[in-house]
Amino acid sequence: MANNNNLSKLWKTEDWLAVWIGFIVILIGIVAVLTKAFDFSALTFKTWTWGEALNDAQMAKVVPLGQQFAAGAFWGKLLRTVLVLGVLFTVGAALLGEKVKKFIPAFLGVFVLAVIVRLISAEFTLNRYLEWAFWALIVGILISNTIGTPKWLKPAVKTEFYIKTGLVIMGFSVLFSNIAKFGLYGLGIAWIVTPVVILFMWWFGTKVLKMDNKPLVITMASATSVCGTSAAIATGAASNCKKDDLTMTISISIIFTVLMMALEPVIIRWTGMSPIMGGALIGGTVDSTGAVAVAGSVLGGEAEQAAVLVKMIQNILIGFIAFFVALFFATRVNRKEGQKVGAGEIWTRFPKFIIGFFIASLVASFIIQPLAGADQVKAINGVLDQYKNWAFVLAFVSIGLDTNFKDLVKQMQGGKPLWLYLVGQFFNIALTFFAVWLLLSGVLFPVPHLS
Amino acid sequence: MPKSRRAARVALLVVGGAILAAAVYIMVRRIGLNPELDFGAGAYYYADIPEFEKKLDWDTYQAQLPFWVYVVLFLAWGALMYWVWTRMEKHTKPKHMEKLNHPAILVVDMLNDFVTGAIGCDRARAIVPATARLLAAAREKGVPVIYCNDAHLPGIDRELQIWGDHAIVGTPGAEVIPELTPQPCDFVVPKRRYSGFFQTDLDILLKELGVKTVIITGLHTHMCCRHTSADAYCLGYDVVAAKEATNSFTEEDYLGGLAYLKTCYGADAYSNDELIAAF
Repeated sequence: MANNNNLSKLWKTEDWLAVWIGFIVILIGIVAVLTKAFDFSALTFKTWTWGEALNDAQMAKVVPLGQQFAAGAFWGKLLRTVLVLGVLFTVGAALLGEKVKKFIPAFLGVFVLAVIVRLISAEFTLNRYLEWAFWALIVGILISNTIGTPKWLKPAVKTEFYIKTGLVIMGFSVLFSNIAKFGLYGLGIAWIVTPVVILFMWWFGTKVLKMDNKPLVITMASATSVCGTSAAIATGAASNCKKDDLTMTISISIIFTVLMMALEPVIIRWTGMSPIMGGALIGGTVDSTGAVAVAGSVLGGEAEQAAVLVKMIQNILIGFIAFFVALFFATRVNRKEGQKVGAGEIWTRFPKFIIGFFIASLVASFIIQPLAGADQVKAINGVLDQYKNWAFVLAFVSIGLDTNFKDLVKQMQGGKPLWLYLVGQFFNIALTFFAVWLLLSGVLFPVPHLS
Repeated sequence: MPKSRRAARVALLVVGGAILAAAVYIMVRRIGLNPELDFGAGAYYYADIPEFEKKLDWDTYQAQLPFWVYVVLFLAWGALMYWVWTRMEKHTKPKHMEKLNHPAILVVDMLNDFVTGAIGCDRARAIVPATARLLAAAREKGVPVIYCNDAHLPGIDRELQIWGDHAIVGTPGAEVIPELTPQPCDFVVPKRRYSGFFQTDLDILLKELGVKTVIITGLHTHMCCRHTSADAYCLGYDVVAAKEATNSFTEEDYLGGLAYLKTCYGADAYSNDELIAAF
């Protein structure tokens, strides 16, 4: 009986189902790209405009909506996306005990909202600063706090399920084998600073601000020190944070990203820092990867390279950090009365989707990449990335649909999360600057040459 | 509202408002954008950036050392940081609480009807083991354990009109649950309202026991525990909450209850380990 129960967890718990769904998507993606037998790419919207005045370079990338809708491929991709995700999540939800008849219309409803979100976030102006996470939350919150989330949608409002699945798919893009390619400079800036900032923010949040909500503290800390939204999603899921915690973290991070991507290059220029130092500083401190590239490019090609490189290392770090956060919370934080945390207990509590995430990453790094080559892995990730994004958009629409605005305000806890972010970010900037100065100013080490 | 809280709120509004205004200003004026790039700040992950690989020169920081050196350095630093983190958490616990000043434990409504009977719930059952452990430790250290038990008169007590019949005096539903049966050294104070103090002997009992601090446990955090805390505070006792040994019907009520106790009565919520260390 006990054995039976243990085994049945493999197909009856959300974590394991997320792992299987993620693996299936990855597998189909690999087969599709390597054999070229069929197209597996998911729907994406190309940039469109509401008629803003744009220059020629900008207009070159714009495809009017009418033209996008008129293309047959568009509808094919839409159908494929909804079928792949719909079938997989419906089977998953059925195994989790949902009624299929109720889940299918609910999923279609949430999917339509997700399509609207992706459409909005492809508009030229709207995707300059804010992207899908923001618009998904807004669309969801607008519905839940005005007309109220309709009952029939509720079966498909499954935030964690979508997030975990998206993370497993994302695992495939975390290539450990690249660690060595970054060299000592890159590792020094990203890997030395990142954990120190996390520990500092943990200390500041739990001891100085006395925040009881430890998952919020760690989610915030990794969003600040690693890479904003994607890190928040990963560590939030690893520490089992509440939806409101994730919403709060991502909102604060997005707002600060806007500020920092605009201001940091100006300040860096004003101080007269070298482009490579400025770029690395931007890469280490601006949260969102897109904003890092934009802010870096403002300082020129060399700065952009340095910035994106440091950010890229941080992107790769998410897997490790999420793993250790999950381990820490399973063994140190969620200890209940009278429970000893033995190996079996750690296994029980450890979020299994992280294991799926790691396996996906190891397979990509040490099996597919050596066998098929880096270009093929990139092509596979080009396909998988869109499924990951769809899963995350579904998750964020679900969060919005589940959010009571009043609760969110309460969650501010007298502004503690804001202070945590502010102090943590200043610490992050100071420490990253120190590391950048140490490694890239030429005082102690030779300045690396950028081509 | 105390001055410090008001100041904190003003600071939050000013700083938060300024940040928000600056962000909106930047977005409206389109500051910091690169018109050449077909993506914005919202591309959250490297794979979301179109042609990201072109932005990376893979030979830039070329590896000069063997692969394993990087892996060892990477893992060693990670392991060191994890170790530091676990040390930090270890030292977090009892450090910030000094010894409690003449404490006593109030066990509110841990009765059959509240836990398994008429108005029972899973969340009530969930705190039984932790409560049992706390009470056992208290008795061992000589900290008085006082049960504040609903003992309602049927057809008379007005609370019954709201909640329906529960904990009727003399019925099994009004008895303390078997896992927490009062010991000879404990005290039992019957009550007919939410608060353990209202028209009962509790105050005189605490005075004669020399109690200065009451540790609130039991059900429900946001109702009887809250009303009992209110009277305890008004009568001059210090109040602390045992966060593992109290609960409400929902997580929101539980957290809201604890937050209210902290806000209005300065009642910090502590874990069992912290409380036992402070007896």
